[in-house]
Amino acid sequence: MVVIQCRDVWEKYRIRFVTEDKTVWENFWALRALDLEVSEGEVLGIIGENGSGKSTLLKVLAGMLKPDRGEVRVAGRVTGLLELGAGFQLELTGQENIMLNAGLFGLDPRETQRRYQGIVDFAGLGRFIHAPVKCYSQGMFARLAFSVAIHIDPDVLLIDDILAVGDEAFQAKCARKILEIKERGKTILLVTHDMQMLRRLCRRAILLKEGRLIMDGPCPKVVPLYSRLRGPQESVGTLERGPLRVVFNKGRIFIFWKEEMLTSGAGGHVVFLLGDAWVSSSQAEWDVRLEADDRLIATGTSYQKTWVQRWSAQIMPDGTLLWDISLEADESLGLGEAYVNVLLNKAYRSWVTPERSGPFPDVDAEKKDGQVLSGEAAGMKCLAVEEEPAASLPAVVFEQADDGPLSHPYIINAAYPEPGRILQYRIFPVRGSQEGVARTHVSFAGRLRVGMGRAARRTQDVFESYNLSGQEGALVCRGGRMMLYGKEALLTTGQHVYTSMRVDGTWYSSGAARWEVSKEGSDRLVARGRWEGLALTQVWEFVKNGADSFFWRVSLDIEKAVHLDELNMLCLCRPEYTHWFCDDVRGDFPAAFVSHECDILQKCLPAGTIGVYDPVGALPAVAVSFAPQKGTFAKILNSDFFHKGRILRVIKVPPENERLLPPGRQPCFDLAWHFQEGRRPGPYTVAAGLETGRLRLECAEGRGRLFQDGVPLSKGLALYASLRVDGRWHDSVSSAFWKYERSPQGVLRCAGTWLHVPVRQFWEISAIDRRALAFAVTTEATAALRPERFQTNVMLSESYRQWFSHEAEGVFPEFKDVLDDEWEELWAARNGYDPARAFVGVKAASCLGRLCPSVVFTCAADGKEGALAVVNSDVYHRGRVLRFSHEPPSVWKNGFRLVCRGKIVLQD
Amino acid sequence: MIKDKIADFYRYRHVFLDMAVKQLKVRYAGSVLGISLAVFNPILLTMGVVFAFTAIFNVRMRDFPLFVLAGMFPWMFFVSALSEATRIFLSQQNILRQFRLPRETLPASCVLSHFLNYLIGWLFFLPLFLYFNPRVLPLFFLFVFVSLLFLVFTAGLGLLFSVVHVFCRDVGHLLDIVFMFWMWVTPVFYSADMIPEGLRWICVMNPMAGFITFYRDVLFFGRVPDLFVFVQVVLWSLGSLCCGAGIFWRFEPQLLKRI
Repeated sequence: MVVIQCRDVWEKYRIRFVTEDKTVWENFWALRALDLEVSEGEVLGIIGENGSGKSTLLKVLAGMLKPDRGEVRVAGRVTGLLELGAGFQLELTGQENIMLNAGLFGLDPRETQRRYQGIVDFAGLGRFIHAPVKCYSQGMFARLAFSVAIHIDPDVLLIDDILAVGDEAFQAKCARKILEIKERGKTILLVTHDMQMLRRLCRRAILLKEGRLIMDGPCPKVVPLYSRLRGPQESVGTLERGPLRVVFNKGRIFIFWKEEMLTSGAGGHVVFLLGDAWVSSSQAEWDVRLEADDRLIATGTSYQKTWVQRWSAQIMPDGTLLWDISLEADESLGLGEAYVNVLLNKAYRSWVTPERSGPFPDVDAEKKDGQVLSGEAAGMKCLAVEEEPAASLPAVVFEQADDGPLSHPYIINAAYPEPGRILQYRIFPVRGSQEGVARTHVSFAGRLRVGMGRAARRTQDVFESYNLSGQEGALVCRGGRMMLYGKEALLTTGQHVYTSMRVDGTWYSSGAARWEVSKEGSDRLVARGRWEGLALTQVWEFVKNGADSFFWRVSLDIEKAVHLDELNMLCLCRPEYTHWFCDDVRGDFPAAFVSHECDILQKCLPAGTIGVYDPVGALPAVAVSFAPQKGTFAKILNSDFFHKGRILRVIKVPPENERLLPPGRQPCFDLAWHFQEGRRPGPYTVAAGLETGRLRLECAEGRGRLFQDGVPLSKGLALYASLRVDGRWHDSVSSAFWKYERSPQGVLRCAGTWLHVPVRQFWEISAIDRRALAFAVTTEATAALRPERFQTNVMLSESYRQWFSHEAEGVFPEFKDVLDDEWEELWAARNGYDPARAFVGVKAASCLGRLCPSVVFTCAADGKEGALAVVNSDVYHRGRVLRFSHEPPSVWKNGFRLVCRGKIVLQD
Repeated sequence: MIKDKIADFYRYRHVFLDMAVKQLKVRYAGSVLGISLAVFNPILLTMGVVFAFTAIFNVRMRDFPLFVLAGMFPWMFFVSALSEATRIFLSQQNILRQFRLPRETLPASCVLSHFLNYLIGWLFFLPLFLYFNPRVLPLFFLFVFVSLLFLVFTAGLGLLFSVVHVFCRDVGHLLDIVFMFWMWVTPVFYSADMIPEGLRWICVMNPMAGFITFYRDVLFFGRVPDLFVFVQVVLWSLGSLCCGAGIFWRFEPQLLKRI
């Protein structure tokens, strides 16, 4: 039976507005077009902000106000508990007031007498019932008042937010009493701001806003909406499409699916580090504009106006919520990392990422910090919670758009302040400037997909579409980066694998481009990236090559001729890789990371393999091989302290005359990646060695390494030759292929064919005595060429701190931080010295706690003098170089030969 | 509709009476003299007036204090009842906000509580009048008659002013001033006969002149008042009640919104 029926009820107040110059009377509609039906025995909660018309509605229902329009029908006796203790006379005793109050409620004296004892018992005032009410505490007053009201036993009871008074025990008592009344089949309408109470008492609730009924439904659905709607009007906005509803409120996003609230607590929000304080996106003044029905722009400015956040939210026709965030702050504020959080209902019980999944443990309320469940999905850009059909919660997939910056995703179990499941992306800011003011920004583009259906399948789709997996490892290509996975773990870190190139004088990183990835068959993945304002497309083609290898071809689709100055491939491997290797050399990384990128550990051949491995064998060795191409070489480095990774870098610097690339497809890199599970690189083979006394010379790949008692005296390029042609240097290490010849005892011979210049070179090294070696480098032109300079060098360990020569001596300075082929010349003997007598050397080094021998170097070309010099290499090579430099005849005909002879002598 | 109103009012008659009694109780709660103040107050005022008129203005009249008291006491009831009833909705607004009882209950019970107070006063004064003038006894029914009419008259004005006061707060203040003026143009300290012929119309226009003349004729002079006074009293009472109730019900629905 319908007890209360309101049809199109309007209620008006006339309000006098007084301003300085005039007074205006205006109509204020406290209720507008309100329709409401309440059945017998129902407990209806009425919620809304202050001034939304709740009390007016009760007064209308109580018959205290007549609606200005519309119709109200209430069957049976109505009692309103609108103002607790109204009508109490302070001077009178509790007993007298009970009689009076009950009368005011419309009870006749006999009835009151009958119920008197019940009222007194419920109020529980003891002797105070006979004391004047003015002596009562606030709680006693409220108890008595409530007790009277509740014992009136009306057919319809209207309660206006009066239960807030009194202690908890009394509130519970009231709630019990209300339930009791309810059980007797009475109808109750309850206005309250106490959502706990509301949830306990009501099954149905209505939400009023500005006098309108905006929602009528089950309590658990109306209450969350209300709590999210609260707040100033200009900072609230709602988007809706199909079953999905997104409410934006003051720097927070709340998501509803079929009126079911999926988010909990602060919902979707951003937290970031400003200086040393954490700031939440809700700590700002927000201005929300609805751009269209399905699009909303919100701008939040901090109270001090120091930072600005812009959010744009849009629900796409397929139901995806695009959530773009940009955060900008003055650089002086020190904007640190930012976290984009989506705090979800704790009813979600399992999480999924493309590569892993797991259950959420029960929230531990004791623990204030969240519990990180998955932090390994770095770069995956896809987090999800699995659907819960029992709780009718759909799956939520939170992705970062492909073109976004690199982020670190986490799945967290949060216990505090509200239990929930957090999908989180951690992003780092970038620096820039705006109108001359240095600004720091963070940007993030999120994609939230909500819907029934397994999240695992969606995330798997995401994974599959960017993934190429073999037996030993997999690669995932997204957003201009490639991540390498072993069987168990991610092998790369930080920026993972990416490219950067210098086109027309500007550097472009693959992470800054917009990428499209498409999978073409099960063993082929193609990614195409475009930069803004650049008329070319970088194309990455990945092809599976057996069980543990991939080819990676990087090429450029050029639309308009461009200058390509340099192209880099950079792979940042996890710091657990402690050792590196290349074709024939192995070594370990320095133990500590320092503030800058560490020195080059190895510079490799133009065709070769570099890689990292973990001697413990926990991680598979990763190797990348690159094809011989002009100007392509590789470096192995240690990253700086902040990135903490091992860098494998392949660099292509095209020759000057090949830098202008015509339109069309231009292949740049051909790389092959290998995963070598549990296998370490074999011991490198020494092509040839020469030993005399404690001195040993190992010759391989165009360099000769010096050792005494197994301790290396040389480093890096060691003994090598270099030749400058047309302004470019070519060296025996990176620009030549070498062959080793069988040679008589005590003599080492090898022959190298140079790649870029028509030159063949023959090295002949022999022992003079137990501490000295003689070398002869014969350079032969195989075609006419015009060399500018010829050098023979020996690069020695940086632990040598002093140099000396036949005329002078000195101390090595710090390495200069320049990326230049012209290294710092410290001293040189120019033409006019006696080649037989002149020498340069290094001394004062300690190797493994002992003093290393000094190394003396002398050289001459065809018996003619050149320049003997002591050189400090650049900061990347970090070596002491003893150099003989010679200006040969400017034109070499075919068959021309230049012979340089020199000696390397160890001294104590 | 008026029937509904009256039925509703009747349903709440217990509250109406209860409130009147309790208001009376509240009025004297905590005071040592209690209900006897209902007597002291008019006596004191009467003594003041008598002092001024006999000692200063040298008025010579037999039993002058009784003469003044017979006018003063009804006047005092009228003033106090009306001024409290006028403000009743503001002073008891929480009752208005909470309960759905007929609104006229409030001013009516307020007037009633003053009337009870008034009657208690008479319990002391009537023997006094009887003592000085035994002829009053057979006229007692006239005293009851005029008192009831006086109650109706005051209640009517109470209804009227209580509702008007909510809409126009000046009424309360104006009323205080009007009462001062009104007392002097009402034959409280003097009899209507003393008014010069040319100004008698004031008495005709003044409802209080009728009531006080009636009271004084009955209690002091021990005579039946003129027919004119009878008519005056009856008409004023009914007029006041009709007018008051009419206006009250006309504006009552707006009441809650204007407090």
